[in-house]
Amino acid sequence: MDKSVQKDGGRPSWWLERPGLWGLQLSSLCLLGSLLSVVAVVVLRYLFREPSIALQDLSLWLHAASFMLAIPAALKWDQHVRVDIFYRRWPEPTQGWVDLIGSLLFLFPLVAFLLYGSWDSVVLSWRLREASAETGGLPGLFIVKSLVVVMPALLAVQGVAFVLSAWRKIRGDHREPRTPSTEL
Amino acid sequence: MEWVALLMFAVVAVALLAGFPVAFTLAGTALLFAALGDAMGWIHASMLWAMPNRLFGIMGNATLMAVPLFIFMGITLEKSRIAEDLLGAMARLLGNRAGGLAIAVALVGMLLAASTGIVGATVVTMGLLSLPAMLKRGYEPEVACGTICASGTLGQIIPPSIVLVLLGDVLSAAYQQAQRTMGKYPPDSVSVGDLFVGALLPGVLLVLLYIAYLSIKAWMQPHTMPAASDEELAATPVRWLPTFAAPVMLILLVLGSILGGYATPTEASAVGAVGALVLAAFKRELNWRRTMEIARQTALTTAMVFMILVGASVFSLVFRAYGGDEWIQQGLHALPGGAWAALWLVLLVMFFLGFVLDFIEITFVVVPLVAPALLASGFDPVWLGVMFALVLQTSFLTPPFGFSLFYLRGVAPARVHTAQIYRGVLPFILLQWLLIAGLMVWPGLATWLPHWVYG
Repeated sequence: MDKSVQKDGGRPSWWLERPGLWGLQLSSLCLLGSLLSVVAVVVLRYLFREPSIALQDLSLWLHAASFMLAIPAALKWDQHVRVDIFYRRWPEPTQGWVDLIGSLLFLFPLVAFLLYGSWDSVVLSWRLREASAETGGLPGLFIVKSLVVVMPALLAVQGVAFVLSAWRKIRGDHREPRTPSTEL
Repeated sequence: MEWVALLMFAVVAVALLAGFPVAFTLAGTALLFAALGDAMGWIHASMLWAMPNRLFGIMGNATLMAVPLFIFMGITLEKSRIAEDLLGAMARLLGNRAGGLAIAVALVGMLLAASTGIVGATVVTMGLLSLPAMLKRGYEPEVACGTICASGTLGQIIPPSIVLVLLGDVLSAAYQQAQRTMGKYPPDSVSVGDLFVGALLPGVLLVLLYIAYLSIKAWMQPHTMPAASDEELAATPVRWLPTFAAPVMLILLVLGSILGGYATPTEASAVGAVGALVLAAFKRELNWRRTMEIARQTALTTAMVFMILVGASVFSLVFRAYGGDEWIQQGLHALPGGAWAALWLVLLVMFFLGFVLDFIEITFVVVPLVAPALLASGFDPVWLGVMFALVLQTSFLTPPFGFSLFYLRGVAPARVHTAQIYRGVLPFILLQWLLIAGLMVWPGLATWLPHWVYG
């Protein structure tokens, strides 16, 4: 990691942002893995005429893991699209209030709903050690399905960091947001 | 209880304007309305327990796998400066005549469109690369800005665009639903591939219209788009094979394998992504660090798209619980003036929604509500998809709210006035409507090629 992260290392946000960053790192690897497995599927199918259900499962699951795990980090780097006709013209403290109230009103209820609502299906999936529904598919679907609670859990932690940063905007001691390419 | 559904729609529209991320606003507002409805006894909160299965459905949707892979290809071409060099080569090729640079921008817009399909990204890239060059050459700011904005939105309509992937997925579900209600069994299906093939002819036609307009303008008023001097041309030698032929071949290969029916869009997108990496490697623009950077940016953009899909799913669950979609479908059927009136109304609403919402939100929230009714009244799904894409693309170009204009404004130098950008896109908007009218009169423009390809 780099210096800008260490600079505000004393802040609780630093710790709160770690899980989201690990999620993004893992997500990027899953994305590359998914890409490679689709290519492998194509090669097997067109060159060797041998369709592989297991590889198809793998590519789809890695793809699912990739986007689910990047959702929390996307909050940090402001990648989630906003209707910013007004937002971007407002002064920073106003933007901070929008982020703060929006988090409390929309983000956290959604996180709670996803965690609470999905818990039972994930527990059931683990109990059954659920595998791919396809013949010749992979075992371990229950691990992939766990992402529906892992994502909101990571999002909750990232959400707290987001609220803290909104609070800093309101107080007026906010730094420019960093872009992913400059930070990691 | 339909009025609550409508109220929810209105509240969401207002809440979105506050600027909190769309995905969370959609879901959060819906959850508040669900809690309210449950407390008042209007609806049962139990309908929300369908959500985990919807999430699993999104995670297991193999069609949507093409989305990250196409984004990956686009970001690779951009970060390894292949796109930049392609524009340079094209400008060099056409630069010796008046208007040549503008036509080069339109052509590169078409090719890149194919690979990114995210409006903002293409407009920003093209704006940064070509606006300074055009202004330095002595181009009138109006025509320079108009060309860049319009070419940047080509990504909506020219396959393989992300919009068409998302739209194809939503339309195929809507088409099944429409045919079920009509009692047609077994139902026909429509795929992302169908939509790609259907959009090809209108997309190419649109580019030709752009080029025709630019050529006529260059011929009538050559001083607004001067040609490059011989010294300037001589100063920029081009290595044709790596900068020009290779990326063009890659894009044609991806497109051709889908259109020829050799590969699914997902397979083609993976091959395209790897091809882009290979080109970057040959250019010595690739290392592990750069690869991870591309993967990271792709993951973030993909996460944004899918989070909106999650938010829209929560919204549509609650909207349905209140009977909102029944109400909209019946309303569209009962409209005086029949199917065409319903179509016009929907297109008009989408056009205005395009001022505040990006295509992803409109595709996920609005299209599932209106498409079943329109398809049930007999409109062709491919044609309808192309119309949606064209209308949205036009919306993104239309002052004062068009997304494309905002993005260009963001990267244009201060001496370019906003009014000049607005004046510059007007001719292109006329061309858009010309094509939309053409599709209304000759639906075959969109439906003929799919029938011919797939029999």
